[in-house]
Order: sequence, then C-alpha cells, then structure tokens
Amino acid sequence: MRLLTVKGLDKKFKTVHAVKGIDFHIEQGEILGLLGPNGAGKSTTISMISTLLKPDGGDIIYNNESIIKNPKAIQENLGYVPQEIALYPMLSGRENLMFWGRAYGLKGSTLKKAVSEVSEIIGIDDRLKDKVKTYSGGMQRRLNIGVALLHNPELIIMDEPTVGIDPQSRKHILDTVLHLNKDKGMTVIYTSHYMEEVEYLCNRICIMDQGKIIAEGTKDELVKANNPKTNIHIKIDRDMESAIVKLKTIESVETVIEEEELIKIISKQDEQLFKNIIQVIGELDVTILSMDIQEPDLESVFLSLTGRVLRD
Amino acid sequence: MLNMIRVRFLEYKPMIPVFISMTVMSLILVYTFGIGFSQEYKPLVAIVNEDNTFESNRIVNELIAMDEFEIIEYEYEDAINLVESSKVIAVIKIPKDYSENVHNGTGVIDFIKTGQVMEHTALELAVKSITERIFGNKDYIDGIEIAYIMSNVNMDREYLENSINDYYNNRPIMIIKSKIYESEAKNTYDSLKQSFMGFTLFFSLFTMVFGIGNIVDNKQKRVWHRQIVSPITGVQILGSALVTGFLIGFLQIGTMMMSGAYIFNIDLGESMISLLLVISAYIISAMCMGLFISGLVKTEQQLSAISPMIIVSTSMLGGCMWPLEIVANSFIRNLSIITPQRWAMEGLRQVIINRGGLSNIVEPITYMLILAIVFFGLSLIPYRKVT
Ligand SMILES: Nc1ncnc2c1ncn2[C@@H]1O[C@H](COP(=O)(O)OP(=O)(O)OP(=O)(O)O)[C@@H](O)[C@H]1O
Ligand SMILES: [Mg+2]
Repeated sequence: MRLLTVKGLDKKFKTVHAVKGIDFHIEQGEILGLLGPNGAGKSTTISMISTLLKPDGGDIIYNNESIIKNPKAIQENLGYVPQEIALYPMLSGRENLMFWGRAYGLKGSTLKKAVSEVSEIIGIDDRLKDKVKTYSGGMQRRLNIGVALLHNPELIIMDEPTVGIDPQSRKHILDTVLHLNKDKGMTVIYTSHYMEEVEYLCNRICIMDQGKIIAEGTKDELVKANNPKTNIHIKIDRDMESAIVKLKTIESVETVIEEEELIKIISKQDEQLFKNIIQVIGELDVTILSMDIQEPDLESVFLSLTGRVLRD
Repeated sequence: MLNMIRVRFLEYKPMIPVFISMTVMSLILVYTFGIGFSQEYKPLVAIVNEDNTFESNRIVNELIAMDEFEIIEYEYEDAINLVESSKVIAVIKIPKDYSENVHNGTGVIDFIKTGQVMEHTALELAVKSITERIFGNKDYIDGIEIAYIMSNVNMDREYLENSINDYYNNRPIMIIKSKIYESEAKNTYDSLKQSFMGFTLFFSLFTMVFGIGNIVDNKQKRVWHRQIVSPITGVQILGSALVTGFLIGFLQIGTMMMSGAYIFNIDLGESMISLLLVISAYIISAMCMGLFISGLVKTEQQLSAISPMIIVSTSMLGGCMWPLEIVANSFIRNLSIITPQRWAMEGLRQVIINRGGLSNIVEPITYMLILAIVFFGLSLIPYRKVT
C-alpha cells in the first residue's frame, strides 16, 4: 500500500532554490533512504513532509489526503526526529518523554507504559531522572528519537539521527530503526549523508543533490543502472602527491582523490589497470603498503553521477 | 493546553534565582532609598567648625556624641552641597571667632536647613543647650574657682555665681539664622512609595522580559518546531507562553508588593481591584515589549546583552528611578509616553499615593494596552521573515 506520495515538490528560500520539483513515494513498511551531501535539500524536503514548512509548489499525499490542505492528516501518525536535538535541556528525560507523550494525546497508564517501553528501546532507563543537559551527545540523540516513538507512529521521519556521535550509540540507533521497522511495522524515511548507514538500513534509496533526486532504486538497481566503476584504494608510505599525478595519466582512470591517507582511484573497466598502476607507482621511490579493490557502492554511484564525493 | 503550561513552568525553574534576586534587589534598594523615612532612622547633619577653639571643638564633640542625630564634620563647601542635594537635613556652622564673639554678644551659629523636617526643632534645641552648657555658668565658675584656688585667693562663690548669671542671662548667647532650601519632595512619605513603585516595576521587568526571551531562544525554537509538527495547535503554543508569562509576572510583582507592604508598612491604597488591574496591564505590555525585544535578536547572548540596556533606559525614561517632573528636557518627558513603565507609575501613583479608584486608572491602563498592541504588532515583523 502506498503511504506517501510526493509530487513536484518545490521550495525556494531567499537566495537558494533548495528543492527543485522532486517526485518520490513510500510504500507501507519500507525504509526509504534519502542520501545526499550537505545542502542537498534533504532537511528541507523532510520539513515539508512533516508540515513544518509550506512548499512553494507541488503536493504531498499521505493516505490519499493532501497534507498541504490538511496538515492534521499526517501529524497524529508521524514521529518526527529533527536533525538537531529538540528537547527541553533543563527537564529530566522522564519529564521530556511525558511532555511529548501528552502532546500526542497519551494519558494515564497508557502514557506510563509508553514511556517505560520507549526508554527501554532507546536504552536510557537508568538515567530517566537526570536532566537532559547532563546526558552525553549519544544519549541526547537517542532521547531525541525516543520522544518521537511514544505514540506508536505509522511513519517515522529521521533527519540524520547519527550525526556526531560515538560508534556504539550509532549502532544502537541503527538497530533501533531496524527493530521498529521489522517488529512494529513502522515505515521509515531515513536521511543521511553516510552511505554505509543507508546501505545497511534501507530497502530503497533516493539520492539527492542540489535540490534534485538524481537517482532512485534499491542499492543493486542503483549500482547496475549507473555502471559503476572499479574502485581501488592504495596506501603508500610517502609522496602521495606525485603518485596521484602519475596515476591520473593512466588512460582508463577517471578520478584520483586523496582521502584519509588513502589514494582512491575510480576507473573504467580495464584489464591492464592493475599492471598500469603497479608500473606508474614503481617509477616512484615508494612502497605500496596496501591495495584494496572495492565492491561498487553508493559512494561510487554518487561519484559517477556527479563527479563529486558524498562527504568532504 | 495544561500540558504546555506545565512544561513551561518546569522550564522556568532555572529562572527562580533571577526571580528571587530581583525581589531581593528591589527590596534592598527600596530600603536604602526609603530609609530616611522609616522610624529607626537617624537624620544626617553636617557640622562645620571654622572657629577651632577649645570651646567650639567641645561643642562639635558633644554634638557628635548625641544619639538622636548622625552628625559628621565637613568643610563648608561640601556641607552646603550636601544640604542642597538633601543628603543632610541641616548644616550647623560655627564661624570663625565665634567663641570670642560670644563674650561680646555677637557670636552666631549658622543653621542652614533643607525643607521642613520635624527634627529641625529638636536639633536647634540640642545645639542651644550644649552651647549654653559649654559657655555656661558652671564651667565658667568652676574655671574661675580653680584659678582663684591656684593663686591662693579667697573667693566668694555665691557672689561670683550671681554676677555671672546676671551677666550671661542678659546676653544673647547664640543667634540662629535659618536659611531654607526648597526640597523636591512635597511629602517625605511619598518618596518612599515612589521608589518602592519604581523599583518594583523596574526589577519585575527583568523577570518578565527574560522569561519571554526564554521562550523564544534558540534551543526552544527547535522544540517549538517539533511542537508545530505535533498535534499541538499554534494557539496552545502561543497561549501557554502568554499565560505562563502572565502568571509569573503576577507572582513576581505580587511578591514585591506584599513584601513592601509587610516590611515597610507601605499602604497600598484603597482599591485592590484597581491595583490588580494596573499590574495586569503592566504585565501584558511588558510581555509584549519582551516579545518585541526577542524579535530583534538572533541569539540568547544578544538577548542578554541588549535587554538590560533597554530595560534600564526605558525605566529611567519612564520615571522608575526618579520622578518625571524633575526631568528638565520636555522632549524626553514626552518621549516617556512610549514606555509601559511611565503609565504603570502613573497608575500606581493614582492607586497607592492618591488612594484613587477605578476611574483614575482608565487612562494609564488604556495607554499600556495600546503599547502592548503596538509592541506585539512590531514583534510579528521579524517572525514573518523567518517563515
Ligand atoms: N531557512 C532557510 N533559509 C534560507 N536557506 C535555507 C534555509 N534552510 C535551508 N536553506 C538552504 O537550502 C539548502 C538545502 O538545505 P537543507 O538543510 O535542506 O540541506 P540538507 O540536505 O539537509 O543538508 P545537511 O546534510 O547539511 O543537513 C541549503 O543551501 C541551505 O543553505
Ligand atoms: Mg539536513
């Protein structure tokens, strides 16, 4: 069943055309990924779906009803997790949960039950009495998600919920999302610029860039359709700059970038590729420490679509 | 709605120190400004001793030792400045050669006073009696007696006493010349009330403006966005902010008024309803002013930098610190009509000082509500830009 349809959605700010007439949809029970670099327009799109912003054009249909005409149609069924922590820092975890639960009409024992259930899911039950401002970044992130889950929403929208936190909290959050989807049947829109997260979680992915959706499909579909290139990561002991210059002279090589002490090469299919690489690096007085051939991934899809990397 | 009001009160907890310190500050200032009018107060008197003889020094020391007055020695110019600015109730000046002149009947102590205060009479009497005693018969006779004994001369003390008494009783020992400076306050008790009202309005404004600022600060804005996408309605969001702000403002001013009434025995007038109405109108206009200020700034830091400036300057302009009547510049006097403080002072004056009722407060309340509408309208402009 189709839960949400976005048609020709458009939003202009004073100087920026943030979202340029995009179309996509979500089936019930899906986890849809919205992948894109900073400023792609992900948050703006999500803000319009969650009725925070009014679009300049297009329509958003939720359960056969336009939420632009009737925002209430989505509000009660939506769990919205904003990109920034939106909690009362001076209140305790419990007080925050109680407040947002009541905001969605929960009362009495239902509310209490929801609060204890959610605090268990997000793993903060032992810190419920403390003020939120004393929580670690990861705990605040988790509570930020928790307050959106109390009313058992049909649809959860998460805007980069793992930005700036430790790997442990991150893992917890990703597993929570999977749990909510599989065991509670919640539909999820998940926004990120981490392609691993989106690959791990999502059934379907929309890749956004500069206000447009530039590709859409499952991971395999995206990889196949965009004829991804061979990805090779090389680590050498020194003189990366000269190596990069040399590597760029190989005919089949399209992009060479330096990232995290690695030389990342993207190339067309080429039988002579390895031989050529070894040869040009051999001309320099350097030692190859490692060489790693990557499976085609969303990173390379994005790169081949835009010529840029997802993260800078 | 109750949920929203409850959370706003919870959020307000960190403001409690501000709340308490504003109450305490206003009471301390009322106390120090108003102290001149309470019972345990000792009036300040300046004394100038230009004579500097054994006798005049003794007069000064005995006056200083008195319990009823706080008498401090000053140079003449300083003393005059003090009396002109009403910091002391009087200046006693013992002129040069006074002790000498007492003997030829022309010795005069100058008595320069400000306004009309009960204590003046008591002070004059005290100066008179001390002076008399010092130059008085007994001292004189004792001295002469010792001199006689030292030079082994027999003395008829009775004769001496009689003749000296006659001599002195026929001479003006001191003449008091009074010069009266007009003092500003028509009635001393009014200036206690005046400063009480002014400080209450001034300090409560901090609580109210920062309370509103709290609601529109950055962290709150994110929470606010989240509230918009929830089933909470816009009316509930804005309504709860206004209701909470109003209740807290009321609590603040109420606490201050009650403390004033109990600690300083200030009579709050006859019409409680009028008092409550003036306070309510003030809170409404102060909150709208707070909204307007918050709309001008982007961050909390800016808010805490700009608010005190606006609060202090408008309070000075509005007559919270001193009566508007003493402001010479008529432009500034007229400018004060744009401050809620001015109309609140006017309303409180009608109720607390003039003991007026509802009919006296219609005008100030009307002005405060007009200002509230204007500030509210102005505060909408920056918000429109955001969304
Ligand atoms: N309120 C606003 N006013 C003006 N411009 C805005 C506003 N919100 C977003 N923009 C601009 O719109 C563009 C898209 O922003 P958006 O926040 O949707 O990107 P994003 O994909 O969520 O990026 P990020 O990964 O950094 O969160 C950006 O260029 C941004 O500067
Ligand atoms: Mg974003």
